[in-house]
Amino acid sequence: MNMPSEPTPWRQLQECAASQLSPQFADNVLRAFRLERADARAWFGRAWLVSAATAMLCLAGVMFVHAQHIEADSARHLAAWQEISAQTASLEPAP
Amino acid sequence: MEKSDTPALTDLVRQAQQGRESAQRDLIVAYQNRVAGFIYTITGRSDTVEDLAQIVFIKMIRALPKLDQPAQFEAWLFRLAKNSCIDYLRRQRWQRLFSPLEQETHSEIPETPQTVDSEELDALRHALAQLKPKDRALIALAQEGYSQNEMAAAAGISVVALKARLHRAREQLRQHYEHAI
Repeated sequence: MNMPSEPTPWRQLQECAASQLSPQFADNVLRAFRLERADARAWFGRAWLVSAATAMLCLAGVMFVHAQHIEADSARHLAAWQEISAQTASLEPAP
Repeated sequence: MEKSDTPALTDLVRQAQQGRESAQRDLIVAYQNRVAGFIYTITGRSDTVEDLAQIVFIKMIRALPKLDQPAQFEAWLFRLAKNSCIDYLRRQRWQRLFSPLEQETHSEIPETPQTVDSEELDALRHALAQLKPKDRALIALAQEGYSQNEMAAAAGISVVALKARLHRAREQLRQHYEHAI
């Protein structure tokens, strides 16, 4: 009777496990790894594109809002100066 | 195991670390049977062996560049395999917890012995199935020739505690084996 510490049943267990592997196991592993790496690269590529597009959209939004503010400020300042100019003209003594 | 890695193996590991596919392939071929046996010992399921072995070797290729000491390759590989098996068994437990209607998942159904299997193999399989997964992992590491220091480090316990646990696990295995045979 073999005890578990003796090699025979352990060797049988190992042989039984090894028989579960397909003959092309190593090639399958390498193929799966290549696919996984290609998927990861494609994912990073897509993530980079989405990030870049989001950044561009944010920048365009900020520039648009900034331009709107500048335009509104300029119009307000021009109106104020026109008012000052009109008041100055009315205060000038008639010749 | 600490000093068992030969210079030829160390050289092969270095080539694999540099991304040489032929070296990676040679490493897989050299270790696939031992890793398969190791996985089978811990999980007790022959139908998970190929999938888990593939996961282990993909992890190996991915993590090889980070291996600082190529001479420690074997110990590192079996630690990787042990962690993958424990993760797998943990996932199975969580799946059972969250799908109570499907409590009898395939890992719960005892594996039917093959007609060609010997009485000793059936008894060993039955005896292993009675142990806790962590004890099966210790037995598997011991079968792979790990030193007690390495096993203690891998299990995150002291050498004294490891000796006690390993002794207890071996004793339980022996009793279940004798009972089954």
